[in-house]
Amino acid sequence: MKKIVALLLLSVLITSCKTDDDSEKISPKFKFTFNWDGEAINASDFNAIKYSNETGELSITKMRYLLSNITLIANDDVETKLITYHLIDLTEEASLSTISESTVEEGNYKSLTFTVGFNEAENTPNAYTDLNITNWNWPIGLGDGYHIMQYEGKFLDASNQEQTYSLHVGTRKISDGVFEPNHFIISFDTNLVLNSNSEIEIKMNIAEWFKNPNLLDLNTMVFPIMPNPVAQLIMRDNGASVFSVGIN
Amino acid sequence: MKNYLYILFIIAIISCKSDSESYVPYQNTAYILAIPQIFADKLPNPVIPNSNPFTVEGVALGKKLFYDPILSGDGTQSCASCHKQVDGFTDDVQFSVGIDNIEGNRNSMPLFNMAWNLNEKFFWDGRSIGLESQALDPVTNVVEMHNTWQNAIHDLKNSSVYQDLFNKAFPEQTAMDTNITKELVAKAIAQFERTIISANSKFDKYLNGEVNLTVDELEGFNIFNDERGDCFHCHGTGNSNPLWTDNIFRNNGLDAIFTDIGLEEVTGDPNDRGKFKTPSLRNLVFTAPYMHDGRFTTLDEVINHYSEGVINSSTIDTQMLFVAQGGTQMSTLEKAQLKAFLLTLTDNEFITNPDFQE
Ligand code: HEC
Ligand code: HEC
Repeated sequence: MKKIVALLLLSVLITSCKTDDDSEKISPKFKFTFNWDGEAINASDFNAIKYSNETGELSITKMRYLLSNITLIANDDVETKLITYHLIDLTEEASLSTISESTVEEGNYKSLTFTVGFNEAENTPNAYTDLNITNWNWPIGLGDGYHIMQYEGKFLDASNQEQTYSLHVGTRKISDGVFEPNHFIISFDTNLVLNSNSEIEIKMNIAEWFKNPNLLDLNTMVFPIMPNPVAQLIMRDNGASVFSVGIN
Repeated sequence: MKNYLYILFIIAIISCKSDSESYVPYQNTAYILAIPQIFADKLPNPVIPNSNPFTVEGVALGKKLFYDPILSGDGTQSCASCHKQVDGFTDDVQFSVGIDNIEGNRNSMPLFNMAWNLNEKFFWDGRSIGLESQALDPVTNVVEMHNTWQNAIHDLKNSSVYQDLFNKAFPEQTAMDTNITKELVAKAIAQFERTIISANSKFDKYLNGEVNLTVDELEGFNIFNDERGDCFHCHGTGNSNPLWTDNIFRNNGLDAIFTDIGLEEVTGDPNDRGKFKTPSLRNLVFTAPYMHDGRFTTLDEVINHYSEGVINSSTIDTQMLFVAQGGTQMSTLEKAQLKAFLLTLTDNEFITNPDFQE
């Protein structure tokens, strides 16, 4: 009898260990990359007028954007928030990767979603000290809170002169005191297989900001766009096709 | 002979032992940095390196060194000669003059809130990383205090007061020894510099709900934050970043051709030509003249620059949005309102605060 109890106990212990092993918890890593229609863009590509589109020739001198609520959705619809918010700066190596704040089980997931910018409830003025000190704030007069993106560069105009462009995205000012949020949500509804070595890559194709669904021509664009609610909407719409996701 | 040595050895041990009863290394007192509420609310924690913990004694020693001409080659100049409290810890001339009566080529910089310079790049071109490293520079700089460290340390060791002050500030490093080093000098000065905080301007009080701004000052704040002035991308939106800078290096359109190439000198990258550290806008009333070369003597000249005087060049910052028109084209009234607003960043208590005085 004693032997049997001991054996039973042992087998329970063993199986419990086993099930633990099966459901290994992982903290997915993130990597943020940039490309121009597939060609990788790194900090060393900055400043040179070497990209072209409908506008003509252009350079990139700044690229920063904010993602929030990066969330993984399991096949049973359980959601796990992996990242609360993260500011990505193409020239700041440290910002180009990060690690999930919470753990998930290895396996298959059906969707990854994130918000570009802060949603309305979380776009709390001055609430994020790390963002305040890097001047990520959106002016009070334009609705306060934080930028969604700061993308800047230079382009050659019709007479081959260098002109600056500045595509900053944030809250839309409709009229004095009337504002509309401008963040947007991206969802990748595709089977994602995660294991302990997986790295989730969030890619931005910068060229897409100019073309889909709205064609942007820097020559005819009216700057500054920050106080221009129409331009802000155009940027938001074009943002929908800018991102893609890969598992490495 | 050998016996003598033995005896000496034993004496040494005994004396050590008996000393260890009375010679307890000095216990210094941790210095608690008083962080203004407005900074605590809006900014990350200041930089206080583990390798240089704050102590009351360290701060006091740093202050004494900051004001003492003993560090200069001929004993005539201290840090405070070019960083005067009444001038917001800068000086009032275009180029400071060193002990040999030679002018430098840059305007002295105001010193405050430096513990919140999180990237820790100091000087107009960011060539020093960390306050501890920065403090080593002026002493041997030939257009400044033009001394050698050997000489400076020699003078400190010979002075009647410093050995004791160093022992108290750095008991671990200096115990039982007269070990004053340039690294400890720099550490003490850096500790003092981190205490130099300015956070009590009229605008700070306005944000705290203690005072009101005039109609013109408020309109000036609006101009600062909209396309009429367009200052906020580099100097902050004001209600969010009480430093009034992000400490990033930029070309704000002063020249077409730069004789002083600024950040490029440090990075070697031609894309950094003519980029200088974005300065804070606090205490401008005390810190004239302005810009890295002190070219503007008044705030009106600065405002005119951003309104009409912006000059294009290949490295101009993309946030100088109106460079094609030479600036944001402010009206006379808008300029006056912007100036009225900038003057609300004056912290009068800062320049008389006895904590920072000799
Ligand atoms: C002869 C005048 C002179 C003296 C003396 C002098 N400085 Fe300076 N200081 C300057 C000038 C000019 C600059 C800017 C130089 C540059 O950017 O190349 C400067 C810059 C600085 C900065 C950089 C501030 C920032 O925000 O980047 C610090 C810190 C500083 N000095 C501290 C000191 C200390 C500490 C001493 C004494 C050990 C000292 N200075 C002595 C003229 C002086
Ligand atoms: C593109 C970024 C940028 C913008 C926009 C900008 N500044 Fe500056 N500002 C700088 C930089 C960089 C410097 C230092 C330049 C130098 O010395 O070469 C500076 C210097 C100053 C100074 C001199 C401070 C000192 O201690 O010498 C004042 C005052 C100033 N700016 C006010 C303003 C005002 C007012 C506006 C808006 C009308 C404005 N700035 C817009 C980047 C900017």
